[in-house]
Amino acid sequence: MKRYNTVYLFISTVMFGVIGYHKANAQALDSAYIECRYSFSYILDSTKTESKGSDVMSLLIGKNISNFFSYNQYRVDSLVNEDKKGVSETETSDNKNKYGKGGLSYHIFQNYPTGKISYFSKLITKDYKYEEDLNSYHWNILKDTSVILGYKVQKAACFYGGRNWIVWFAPDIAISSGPWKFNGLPGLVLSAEDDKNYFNFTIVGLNYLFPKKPIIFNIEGKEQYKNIKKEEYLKLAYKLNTNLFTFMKENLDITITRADGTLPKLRIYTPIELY
Amino acid sequence: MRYNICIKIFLPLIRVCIYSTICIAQQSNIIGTVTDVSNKKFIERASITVCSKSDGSIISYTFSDAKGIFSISVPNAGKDFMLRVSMIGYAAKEYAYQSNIHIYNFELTPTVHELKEVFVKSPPIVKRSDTLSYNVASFANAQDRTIGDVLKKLPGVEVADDGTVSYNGKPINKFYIEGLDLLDKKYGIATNSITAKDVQDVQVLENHQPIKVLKDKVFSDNAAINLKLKDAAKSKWLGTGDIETGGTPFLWKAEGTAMNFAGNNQTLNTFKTNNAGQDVTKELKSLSIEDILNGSDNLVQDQSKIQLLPSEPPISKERSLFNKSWTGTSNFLHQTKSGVQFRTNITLTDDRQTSNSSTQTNYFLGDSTLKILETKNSVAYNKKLEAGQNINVNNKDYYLNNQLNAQAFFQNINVQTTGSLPNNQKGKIPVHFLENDFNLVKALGKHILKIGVFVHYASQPQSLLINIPDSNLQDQHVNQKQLFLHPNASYSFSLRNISLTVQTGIQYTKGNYNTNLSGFGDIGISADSLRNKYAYSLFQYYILPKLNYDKDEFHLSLQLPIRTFFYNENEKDSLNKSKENPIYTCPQLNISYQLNDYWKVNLSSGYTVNVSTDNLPPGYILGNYRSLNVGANHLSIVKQQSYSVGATYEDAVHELFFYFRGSYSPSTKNYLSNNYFLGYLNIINNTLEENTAKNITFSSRISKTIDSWKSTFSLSANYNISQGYLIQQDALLLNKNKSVTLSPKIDVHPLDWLILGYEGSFIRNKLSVSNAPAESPLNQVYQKINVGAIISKSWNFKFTAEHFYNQLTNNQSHTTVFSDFQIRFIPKKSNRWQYSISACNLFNQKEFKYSTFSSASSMTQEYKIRPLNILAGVYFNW
Repeated sequence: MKRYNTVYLFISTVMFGVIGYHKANAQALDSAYIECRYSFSYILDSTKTESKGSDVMSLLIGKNISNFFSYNQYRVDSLVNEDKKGVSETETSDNKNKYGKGGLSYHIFQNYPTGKISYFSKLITKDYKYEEDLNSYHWNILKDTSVILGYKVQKAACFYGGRNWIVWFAPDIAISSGPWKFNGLPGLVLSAEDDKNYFNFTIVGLNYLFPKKPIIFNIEGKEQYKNIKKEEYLKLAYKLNTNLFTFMKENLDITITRADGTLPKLRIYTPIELY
Repeated sequence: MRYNICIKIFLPLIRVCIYSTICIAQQSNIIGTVTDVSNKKFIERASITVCSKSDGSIISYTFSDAKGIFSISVPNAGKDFMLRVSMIGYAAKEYAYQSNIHIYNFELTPTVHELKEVFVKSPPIVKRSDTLSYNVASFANAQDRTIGDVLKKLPGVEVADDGTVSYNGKPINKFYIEGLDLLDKKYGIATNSITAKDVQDVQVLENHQPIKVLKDKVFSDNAAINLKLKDAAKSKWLGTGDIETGGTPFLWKAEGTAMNFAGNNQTLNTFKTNNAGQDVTKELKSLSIEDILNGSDNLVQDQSKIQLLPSEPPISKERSLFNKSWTGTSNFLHQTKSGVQFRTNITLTDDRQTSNSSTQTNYFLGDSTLKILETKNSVAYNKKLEAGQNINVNNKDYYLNNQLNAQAFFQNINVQTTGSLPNNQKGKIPVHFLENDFNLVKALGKHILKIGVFVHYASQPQSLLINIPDSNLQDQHVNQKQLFLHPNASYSFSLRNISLTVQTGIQYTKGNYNTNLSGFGDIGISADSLRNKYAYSLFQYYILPKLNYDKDEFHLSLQLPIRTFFYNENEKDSLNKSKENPIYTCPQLNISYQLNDYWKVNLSSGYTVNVSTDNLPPGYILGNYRSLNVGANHLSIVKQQSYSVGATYEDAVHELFFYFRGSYSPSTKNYLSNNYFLGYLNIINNTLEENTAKNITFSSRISKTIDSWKSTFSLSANYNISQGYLIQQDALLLNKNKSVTLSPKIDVHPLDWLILGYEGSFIRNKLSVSNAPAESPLNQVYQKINVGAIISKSWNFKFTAEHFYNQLTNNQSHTTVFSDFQIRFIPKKSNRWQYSISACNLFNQKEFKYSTFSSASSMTQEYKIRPLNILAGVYFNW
């Protein structure tokens, strides 16, 4: 048995090495052995509850680090990268629209660096990164139980980022992680929703990865990012989403005005995290 | 070292003791460690939960730290509690909590894959811009071995009997494997070799322009197919083997494939042999006839004047094929880092086929009917070597393609005929050719330059020996050589939505016919006419302006070619030159418009002039014992108008596909086909006389997939009227042929283990010939039922029944039922091996009969069918 394990380990290392060579344009932080998919729905405008956006999110779970990102965006990025290599004759186009709908641009790494959450995201043209403590959740475990995706789950609540969250976690999946930034429970978070039903993460799939997938910075392969504080990031994102034109004026020195001289207004923005 | 271990083990224990002394005082806290039982190492981040014993709900929890130590408080209330320790990768453990124990040292045992996996299902079809991806796993089942089996089931995709893949009724223009074109037009090799389990997705690339320089400049109406392999199938040798044997008589079948698709190198090799009636040459045919750059400009067919073999029956070839066949193919492709592709394709075939058929042919001769009865036993030996070498560079700046093809084909045929005129025919009908096609397309900003040179040289040194009892031995030698050369150049310019192309070229044909026929009886033909010593050359010049207009979803292309030709002929050392240089303009218009996400309409009309040298040699050439061709001594010119309209509907989300096409094409020929019967001998002549013919066709197909039923329904309908004139026994006859075909097809997968398929075609043919008494229409019905059952993961079986009803004459008909059975066993341990037993023609049918009409004649044919054959064998893949 042990010998088989060694062989298995050797093969997976070799295979991982080959794949890593092609795909990793940054050093792998960890290697993921489980991948979960979550469907994520989010409100676009809190004054119109029916205006919702959606995305498919991927959670790669490694021994120490987990990585949460938009699967849709990942797929588009890989297609674009494939084209850039000039390998794929069939997918060539300079036009990104061809690759279908992308997704949210953020990447969240839990327990990287150790004890922290790293949040990477792109705002307009720049990539930003902030860190926060991993264990900033004060979970209140509730008695209710249910079943999601065939797993027995238990309810837990917390107040985080200005919102009251209700999550369902699976004690049988002894991984203290979950979608978005959720972690710290004795089991994987399979579903999470805020009390206003603005945001909802629900698991749709879970499988082992063979060979293991490297966890890398994959924001279009860029390692250039600006470190800022979480509060600064949230303020910036808010400004950008509520008034892009003010943001552009302040940050990029580009002024766009309407005919009457006022700055154009954007829709009402509902951030997942309040500051 | 030992000191280190001591510290590792004892230091935490000392800490545990210190904690415990504190805890004893508080009574509500427990502490402990979590270790791996296999290596005694401490486990970090294991979760320790205090659960209620009654319902398992979590009351409190904590995690072990980097040293594997934890501490957790337990409520003092008098409930019963459980302590649960879990960590991913280890089997979770539960312990009963005892209020008097405060230190717990838990040991966990490693496990693998203890979680229940829930795979995210890919939707079966995903549409992204012009690319449709069909998830193979959603369409394949245990009975599908090759990707060809799966292609047939994809909605919108059709696979014709010869292997041609069409998408929404139009043949595909490229077949890629991982984006590379390994097999060019012989992609049947891939569809029959690559196993379905190695393919992740089948992608349909709509409006595919394979030449990158022309992308977004030249609109393409055809789709291409790309096979996306699973990651696990790349960069390693894949292969299949199939060995079967059975009876009766002794039957064998052996097939092997070996392939490797590794980034820039691809290879696919096959070897096949059998005497079990399976046509190994089927997949070696060139399938997409349309040449992407040159259209049908360079389509040269080296037709033999000698035709000995009977036509093939409209049943699957396997049923009437008595063979001993060997074939091997080797295909390599290498792409350099700079993007240059080298490809070599080699095919070798050795094939012996025998057939046995009886034919009654009725020729309508105006006021009477000539009946001919023939029973033919034929043996054909075919040996063929085909080799192709290709160099290709395809990037955004230029496209360079050089394809060199060579063929050596030897065919020896022996036909024994009994019936109206018993005889024995022996033919040697080799066809050898060498051709090279060079194309260069270069983009200079908005300008595109194209240069093409095509050369084809064919040699057909053929002979025919006919032995009719009580007559002289007829001996004919034909030495036919033909050279076709087509240098051309074109220039395109595009501005916004308009692109303009001007192409000019010369099509030069040079031919030599030397024939000699001896021993022919006295039918009033001078001996000199039985010999040809003939050479000709034909020059055709053309200038072809082409306009393309593309705006959003609107595509228009207009062509206005101007052609002229002249020819020289040299017959028995006397030289003739054509006196006139007629000038033709042949406009072509194509419009297509995408109305919305679903509907697309297209319109086309055109006028073509086809100048052919086929009937030039003036002397007599014997085609077979009862047909004698006489040259016309003039070029055959066919002028054709064509008008067609079509609409397609495509809803990938609801998997509903529909198309309709109607076309009308009247034509004018400068010659009339003239059949004169002298006894049984048909003297075929072309009389110089202008006449018209027309053809009307409507075709339509609708297909729908219902996911929840896993089923695909389709219905095709076809209506065709053709009419033309010919002279038969000095009488001018007008013949009209009408046919209606209705073909439903259903594939249902009602239960996980059951697959049901039905397909049918209902055909009605009617021929009317002026003056001749009206023939009543002939009905033909074909129906096929497939039942496949996957009884367990290991066992599956397949049953097929085919029913034919063919009306032979007014009051005669013939019904045949063929049925086949196959059972497959896939051992549980490994699905790489499969064992199978198959039985063909269970009811041991001996013959197949049917009738057809062709211009002013009808034919009833009877074919010998392969008897009940049973084969057992083993198939494996790796």
